[in-house]
Amino acid sequence: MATAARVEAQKAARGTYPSPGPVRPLTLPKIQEFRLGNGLPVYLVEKRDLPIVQMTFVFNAGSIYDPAALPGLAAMAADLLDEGAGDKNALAFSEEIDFLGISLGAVAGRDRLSLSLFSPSARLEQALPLLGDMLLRPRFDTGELERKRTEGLVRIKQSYDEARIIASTAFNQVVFGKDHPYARPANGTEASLKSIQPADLHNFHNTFIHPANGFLVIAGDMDRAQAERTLGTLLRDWKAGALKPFVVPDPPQTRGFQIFLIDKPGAAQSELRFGHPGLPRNTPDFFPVQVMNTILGASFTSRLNTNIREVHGYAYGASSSFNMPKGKGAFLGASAVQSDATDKAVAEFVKEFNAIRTVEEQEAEKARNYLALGFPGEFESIESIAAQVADVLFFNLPENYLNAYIGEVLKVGKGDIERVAKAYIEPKNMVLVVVGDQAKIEPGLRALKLGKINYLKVEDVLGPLPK
Amino acid sequence: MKGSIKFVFLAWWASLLSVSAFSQGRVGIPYQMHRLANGLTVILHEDHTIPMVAVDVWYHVGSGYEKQGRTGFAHLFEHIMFEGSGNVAEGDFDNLLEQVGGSNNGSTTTDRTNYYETLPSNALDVALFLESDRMGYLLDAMSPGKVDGQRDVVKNERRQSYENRPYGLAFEAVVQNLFPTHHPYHWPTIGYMDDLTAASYEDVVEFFKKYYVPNNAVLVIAGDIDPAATLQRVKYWFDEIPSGQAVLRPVAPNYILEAPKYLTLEDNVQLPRLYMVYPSPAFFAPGDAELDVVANVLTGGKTSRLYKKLVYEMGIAQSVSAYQSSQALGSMFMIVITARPGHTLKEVAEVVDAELAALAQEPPTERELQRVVNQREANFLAESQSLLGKAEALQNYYYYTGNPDWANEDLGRYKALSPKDISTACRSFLTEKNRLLLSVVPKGKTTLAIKGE
Repeated sequence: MATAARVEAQKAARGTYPSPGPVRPLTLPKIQEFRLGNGLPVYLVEKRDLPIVQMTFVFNAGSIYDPAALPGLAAMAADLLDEGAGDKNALAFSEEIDFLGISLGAVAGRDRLSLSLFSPSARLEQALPLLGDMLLRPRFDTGELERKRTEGLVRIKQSYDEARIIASTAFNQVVFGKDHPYARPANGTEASLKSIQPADLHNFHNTFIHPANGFLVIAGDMDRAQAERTLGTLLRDWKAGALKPFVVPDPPQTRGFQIFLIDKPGAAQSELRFGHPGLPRNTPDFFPVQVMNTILGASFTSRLNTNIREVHGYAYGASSSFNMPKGKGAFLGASAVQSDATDKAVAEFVKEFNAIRTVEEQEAEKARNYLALGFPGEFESIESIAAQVADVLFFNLPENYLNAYIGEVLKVGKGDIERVAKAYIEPKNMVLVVVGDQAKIEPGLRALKLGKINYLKVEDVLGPLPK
Repeated sequence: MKGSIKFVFLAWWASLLSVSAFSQGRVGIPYQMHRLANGLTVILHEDHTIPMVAVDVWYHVGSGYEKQGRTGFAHLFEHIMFEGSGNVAEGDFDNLLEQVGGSNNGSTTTDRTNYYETLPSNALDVALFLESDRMGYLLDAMSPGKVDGQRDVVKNERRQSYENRPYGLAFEAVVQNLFPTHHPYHWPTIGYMDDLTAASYEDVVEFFKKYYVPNNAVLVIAGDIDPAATLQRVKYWFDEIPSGQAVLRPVAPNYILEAPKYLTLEDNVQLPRLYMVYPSPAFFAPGDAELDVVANVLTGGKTSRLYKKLVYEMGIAQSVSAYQSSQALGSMFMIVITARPGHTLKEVAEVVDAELAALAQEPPTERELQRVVNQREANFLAESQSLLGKAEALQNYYYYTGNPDWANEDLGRYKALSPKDISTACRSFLTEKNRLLLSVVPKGKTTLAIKGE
């Protein structure tokens, strides 16, 4: 009888990288559209696997509509919407939200104000009255306004410590111009925070928070009948006003390469912000620009991250983005680099801004795949689904945008990428904001001979330090 | 604002299996567990909501396993794990994943290091190949040059979060002074610059051989999978990796401070900030849930004890937060208060002490306790949407309790508490003797700090 042969574990084949199997289809949900009696458009995505509901109200409101004398009004109003509403003062309102374990709040950006509710289905009946009160009957009590005033002033004071905030604020100011709606201080100034009155807030609410100036997206454990019934009653008395038209001028062209240096003595790193005016969200070149930017600076293997982090070790990370609001936004390249490598890192960034005009086929494919094949991840949660749908509506994107996304990305070719790189990134007409240890880094920056160096103080950017 | 959106109609949710048990108030994440011959623990969770999968590996090693003089090493090692392995060229770990539409990351804590990918389910094999290759064959691709490269990256990571951040050096001062010198938690996970400089290629090799072995690792796969087929693929890729020596977890005696400690740091900050830190019970030990509740009662929302007093009514603080930072060998209960201009840290500390005394004397209300339970339940539901969130929950429970599906028991800890238990916990753990007070003040303003009598 033969002895049993010793069987060795079969080793896996590691000679070539494994390939994925056939792509599994993403089945996108149906969107049901209807209007409430008060005229509010509602878009509903049913998802019944978990007993949770997300409601996202979006309004045409934000810092771009702040009166010239009252920057920060939209942010303050959004912040105060949940500081007491209906019969409940701020403490009682907040206590109820906390006790239920729901999320309910509002935040104002530049172009839009979002008011969101996330609630377990079991708590919805108790959550909805709070939502209704917030939308229809915010109190804007003077006591709460005073509190928020103080909080806002101290926050401005604290921003003096933060190199990141100084850099980003300065960037917007030098790219758009200080008076441009996208550069004005969204959180207010010392003067404006001290001036805001309850009447301003009530006026804001009447002007912006109503059914003709927004829409609602619902995702989760709810059907149309339930939505119409509960919200119909809840929001029956909500009166429509006028639709707020969107008017934001294009920013001026950047001419030449200009450096803006802000001293932060002793800083261990320099915050770098490169850029110039960019594109609005509804640009017809959206997909090629996304793919191009992924290659340049929006993935771990991007050229900027590979160069600045992996090859040179100058920073923990480097990135680029086309920020695309409703109007023309900005192109931005950013990093926090170790102080003694500031000049070298700047030179590498400029090199990459020029080199992106030529890409390899392999890079293009990887970037396309990264965006297209990872797209299903955007539909994992009801918060994310609602956000995707809200974006399509807010920016007036094509009806079939989400269905077409994957196909559109995969269509982008090397030629498209190179075309948009040349069209939309201009290394010769660019600003560079640097917040860092001036004594250490200035000689090196000068030696690069990139352009004029302008010197700014923190006060020039953030305003005088509040007492 | 107008516009309709047309989609392919599918009752997509109707075809989904029950992805998380939430029936009759029981929370949970159904799973299967297997163990390979080499000791690798494999946990599988099925969820077909989207055609994606999360692959999550925990190695049971963290900064608490380090030696003095080599702090920051577990985290530095984590970085090196992404730089290629025997059959994966440098840079290709990320290249390959991006190519198939995946994203990835990792993190290091005192207790463990995790590595995870989320990617389309049709590419699961790619993730398994990459994870098995670095588990088995990292050393084949290791070089002193790679260690040097990541050393620089980590130093910048440290600068970004510590040296170049307001209050950035506070955390390190806290752990240095709260935990005794030879305690595994005595240094920050990021490590010190000098130790990072001293870390050598030989250190990397030793570390890998000791800790990065299948018997010290747990692989969780959550998402659009067929469990039987997936287990076969896991065996295909991981069976060949030999097991290593058993890994002992570090131990540390329970300790309390005999007398309060006082520390002052000056920093480039506008506002002074006080850290009140108490050594507290370990993750899931008796007292841990109680202190989570204490933290919520103190600073969870506008009507919480400290927020309401310090920020809302008196306006002497810009912010306040309390939390029980739970770890395997002992936790830290922290209260962090940022004072408003014109107010000293002594002022805010007096208010905190008064509220702690009140809570130690007078139990919280049933409603304050129920708030915590309600929030935890809602949080569980929200996290159940996330494949990676569920994978991490399975990993976390398994590491700390030995049972991956412990969510119901976890929630049960809180449901079982009575208001009296909360006061008892305050009296036991949050005493004036058993704490460290760290004052971080603007340069030159040490008069704002709290010093011992």
